[in-house]
Amino acid sequence: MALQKQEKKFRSPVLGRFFLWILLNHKHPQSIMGDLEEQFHELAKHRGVLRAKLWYWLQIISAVPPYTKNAIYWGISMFFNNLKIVFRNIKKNKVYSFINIAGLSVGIACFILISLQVEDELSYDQFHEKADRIYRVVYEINRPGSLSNTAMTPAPLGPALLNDYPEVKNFTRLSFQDVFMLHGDKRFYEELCYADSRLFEVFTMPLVVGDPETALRDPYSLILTQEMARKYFGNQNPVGKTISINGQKDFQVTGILEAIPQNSHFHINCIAPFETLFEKQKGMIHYWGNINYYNYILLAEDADIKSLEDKMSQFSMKYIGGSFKELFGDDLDRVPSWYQFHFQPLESIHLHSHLSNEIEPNSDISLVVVFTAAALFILVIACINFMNLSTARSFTRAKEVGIRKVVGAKRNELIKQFLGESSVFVLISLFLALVLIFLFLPSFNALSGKELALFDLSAGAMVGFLAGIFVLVGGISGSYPAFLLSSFRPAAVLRGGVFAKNSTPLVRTFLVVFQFTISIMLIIGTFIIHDQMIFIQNKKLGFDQQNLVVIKDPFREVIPKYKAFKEELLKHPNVEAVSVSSGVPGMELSSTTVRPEGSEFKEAISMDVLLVDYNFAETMGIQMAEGRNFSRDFVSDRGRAFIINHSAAHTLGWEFPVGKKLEIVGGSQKGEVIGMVHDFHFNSLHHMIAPMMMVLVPVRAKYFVVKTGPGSVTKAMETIGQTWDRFAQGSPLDYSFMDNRLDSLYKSEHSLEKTLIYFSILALFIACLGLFGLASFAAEQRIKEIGIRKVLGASIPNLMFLLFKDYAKWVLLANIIAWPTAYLIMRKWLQNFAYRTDMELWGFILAGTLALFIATATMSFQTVRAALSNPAHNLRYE
Amino acid sequence: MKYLSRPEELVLITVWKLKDEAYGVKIRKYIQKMTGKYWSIGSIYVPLDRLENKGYLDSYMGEATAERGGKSKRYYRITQEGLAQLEALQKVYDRFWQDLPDPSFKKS
Repeated sequence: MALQKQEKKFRSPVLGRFFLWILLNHKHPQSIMGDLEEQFHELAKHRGVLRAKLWYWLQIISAVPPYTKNAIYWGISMFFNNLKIVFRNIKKNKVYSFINIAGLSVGIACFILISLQVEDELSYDQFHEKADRIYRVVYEINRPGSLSNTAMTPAPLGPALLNDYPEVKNFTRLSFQDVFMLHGDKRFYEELCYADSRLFEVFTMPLVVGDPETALRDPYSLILTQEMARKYFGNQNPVGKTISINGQKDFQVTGILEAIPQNSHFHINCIAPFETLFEKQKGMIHYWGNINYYNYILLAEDADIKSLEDKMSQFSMKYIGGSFKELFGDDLDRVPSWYQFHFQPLESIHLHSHLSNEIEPNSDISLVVVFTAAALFILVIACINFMNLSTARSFTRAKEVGIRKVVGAKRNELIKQFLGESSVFVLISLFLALVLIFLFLPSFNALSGKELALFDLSAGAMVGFLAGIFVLVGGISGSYPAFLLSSFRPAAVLRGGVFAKNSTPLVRTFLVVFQFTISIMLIIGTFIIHDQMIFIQNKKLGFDQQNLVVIKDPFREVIPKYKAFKEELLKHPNVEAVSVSSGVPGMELSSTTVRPEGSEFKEAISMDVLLVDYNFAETMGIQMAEGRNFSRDFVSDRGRAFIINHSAAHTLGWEFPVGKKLEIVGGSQKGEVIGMVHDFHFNSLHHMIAPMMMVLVPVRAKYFVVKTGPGSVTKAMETIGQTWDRFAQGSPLDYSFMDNRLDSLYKSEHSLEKTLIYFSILALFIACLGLFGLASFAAEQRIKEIGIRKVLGASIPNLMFLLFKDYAKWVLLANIIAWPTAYLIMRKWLQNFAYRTDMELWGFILAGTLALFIATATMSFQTVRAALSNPAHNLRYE
Repeated sequence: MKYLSRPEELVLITVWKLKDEAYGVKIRKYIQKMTGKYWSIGSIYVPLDRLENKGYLDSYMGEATAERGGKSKRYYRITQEGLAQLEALQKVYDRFWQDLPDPSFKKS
């Protein structure tokens, strides 16, 4: 053992041996390395290991300069020679080169675009310097009869956490409120955020102007973003000026906030001090029963969130149990299990949090996974198509390979050459991809609602990313052709008879079928979505959506004077009718539980409630089915009469509802059903029409519905605006047109349709590239067969059909796979809608035909060329 | 006929001289001793390869030892042609060296 160890000591350095092995260019490397080893051993034994090692390294280093000189010199000259050959080839086969580069650059562009999107999704909230230590506190209420997971928490939570646990270093609270802001003649509805001044200690939100420590110190101070400041004050200095909020109180601008990046889970445009929210009821800031606020905490650097959560088992007992002792009574000891607070890491909110009352709708991690998979998938497909096209060309390159080999090229040199060749292609494609992205990024952003930019990444990351793509794509797409081409045996190639294999590779066929399946599915999907959108547009909603203007009165400034307002408006010739209601189509209504008077509780049903004016049904164009509308002739109609819809009558099991009595469960309100209306779609077509009742309580309405004449809407809007200004106490006119409102209900479907169109085109393009490769491969392979057939008298259409039917069958196979799959997927999608169109066969047939047609067009380039080629030329024997 | 280069010549003589001991390490050491100069490994092996290609040297594998990290030696042996070449070269030298005048330098 000892001896062996001794021997080991006298071995040369492993790293050195490795270098030597690389540098040695000799037919007997073993003997040279042996020689060095022997001398090392001798030196080590007599003059010490260190000296031996020094000597060994000196030997290696002294060998490097001549070696590199040689390698560089010949490397460069071969490089330029190969480059020349590449460009000659590109020039010689313009169509091929174009298609190859186009396919690859589209693939790479897609990959980069989706990567940018994924990167953006993953980057949410990371711009905060302390992002890894910030947590949002969320609330799990698990009381019998009330179960909720909400992002909102009580206001005193933050201070209590800071006070009780040393792990919590800081906290901040946010609360959002819709307000309208007024400065001079500028009036807009805004979302105001009330926040602690600790906001700036927790989050990274730099102020352009103002001191973060004092900007939110005084009540009624206001911080605006630069954009907001410009909106209200133009180019004036906003600091010190005031903005009136809700027409009630002047807030003084004390600071200017830098805009919050798009990749944040909340966006704030204006901030007021948190305490200001409670100016009217100061005690409420300590009230645990009001769950309306977002609490964020900053964890101490060495603390662990898990152990903090474990320590909090009695937290809710102390505060919630403590505040509401009488309320819980005997159940007091169950409070800790009923009310629990949890922590969400800030960076995970955007992708992992799906609670109720999120500040903004969040994304989902599964989306990121799907996107990543799709990006890689597109890239791989593009690579494989590239590979197919290059190998299809291998026949024309075979002779070159043969000659090179005869002249003395080694296989690895040829591999290097062909790899280099595809690298040039990849490089060009990469460049074109960047150009494509530059062109399409704006419309992509418009579609996805993001603000992606190619140069968002740091230069280093960008270069690394592009280099990564280069290596990956070059490696995948270049390796197979390189190995295939370099494997040709010169004698066989030069004699001219190497391509005996007369079969299309299975993998390639599979790919083409697969790509077409995807394309056809996408096309079918686009058709069906389009069909459904048309169905939605043409669907009778049960009311007249044309020429209806909806005016929102969130603070009920005009509603109390609605009669006068109405009269004033009706003076205008273009206003036909005016009514008020508590809700308008396209929004969710509040609901209540009702039962037939005197019946059991279990017969109660939930009904949407609409508080309306006498003429609401008329104004909206809703048809009465039975009974009568509200009328001034009956005093009892005020609040004690109901008009229900068909669906309500059906749910209650009433065939003739008029005259029946209903009572509201839990309240004392009772009344008679005086009429029934035909069903109308209050919500989007995703939902079934719910049971609904209308009650005559106009003073509790929140919306005006104005029916204008078919003529000039602008004129009518002018009158409405002027009248509104006379009645309102300063809040701006917030109006919308009914048909636009309804349209916006299907926003996600519209954007899905658009996305699908893009993807169908893309998929079809890529599939055609694959098919083109396959077709050219087969055409090259069968060129002699075609020649002989031609000589024997085959006509050109005959030959074209011969070649055509080979691929047509694959496209047909793709159809067979795509139809049922698309059917199943689209059926699932259509189930989102309570009211939906039927899937018709023509959509499928059209999609299949379209794919076949495009495929034929793609192939015809090859088939026509093959069929037209001169047989004498093809059959010539060299 | 092409003449050998000086390094080739020296290496060839060395191989001849060392007889059964002519492998890399020994050759290099001998030449370094005789010339009193540093010879890199490359400067030994390049002439060896050339000589072998020209047919003036033979090579055969020898035994592997522990000191060599288990790698065997490659022994070289001079061939008939190699010997003839050396002799021819020597004759040329002799001819040149004959009847050279006495080199007398003036002391300046």
